[in-house]
Amino acid sequence: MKKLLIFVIVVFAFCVFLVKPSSVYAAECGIGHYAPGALADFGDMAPPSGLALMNWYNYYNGSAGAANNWNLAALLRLT
Amino acid sequence: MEFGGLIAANLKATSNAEMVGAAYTTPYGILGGKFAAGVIVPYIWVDVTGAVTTRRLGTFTRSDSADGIGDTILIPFWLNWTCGDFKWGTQLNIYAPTGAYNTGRLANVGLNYWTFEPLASFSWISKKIGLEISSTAGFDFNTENGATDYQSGEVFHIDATVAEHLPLFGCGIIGIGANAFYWKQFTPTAAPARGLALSKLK
Repeated sequence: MKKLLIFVIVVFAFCVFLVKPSSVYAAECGIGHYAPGALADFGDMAPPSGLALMNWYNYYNGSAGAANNWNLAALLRLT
Repeated sequence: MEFGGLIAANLKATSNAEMVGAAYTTPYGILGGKFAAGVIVPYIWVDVTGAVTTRRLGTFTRSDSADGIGDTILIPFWLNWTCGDFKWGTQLNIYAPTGAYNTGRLANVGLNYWTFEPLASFSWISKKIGLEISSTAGFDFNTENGATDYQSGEVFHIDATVAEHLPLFGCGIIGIGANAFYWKQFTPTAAPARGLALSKLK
């Protein structure tokens, strides 16, 4: 149990180390098809055998500032 | 930031998605793993508010909402192994642009391009103590959005979850834990038809 606890702490510390904010999401609409953090769950694994129906709910709320000045299109300009 | 062909700043976006899907694991496989396949169809409600700038109208605040069936996720290849409390596997997700997309709108339920996403994942959840450690890593390879000529860059991402699952008054479980992700774009974004230089945006 002690080893397991140490393992969990190490994994958690590694995850914290990995987390750092990205300054700009260059994908169109700010983000692509990938939903950050949504893929790591035991429920994302395939069923052991046969047919399984899946149902879950995603909520996302975010904002982006105007720190960058981009001239992107003939008709539109961000300042 | 580009939204549906518009350039917008100070964006606030809220998205709710109800995901419904089905997966089938076959009795066939290789190296002890089993093949599976699946499909997931989202229904999305999205609200976006942002400052939009145009040459004709200048800068103004605009809000937009949309709802409908989003981009469908196809899983044609899914190979999984199970050993006690451990599960691991590899799969290919294909995001098909089935969601409605209109240029000139801030809010769209579809992205109007395909994404091919190979993934590798593992999950350990203890049946005895309810502890879960799961992680999934993958790459996103995007096609160009033909409506805006916008080529979103290719991305590496890894998600991780550490959670404790507890019984919920005899009617299921509730999980408490932490979830984190790392996201890195490794090829430039580009919109060549407009002569844009977005290679520094990563």
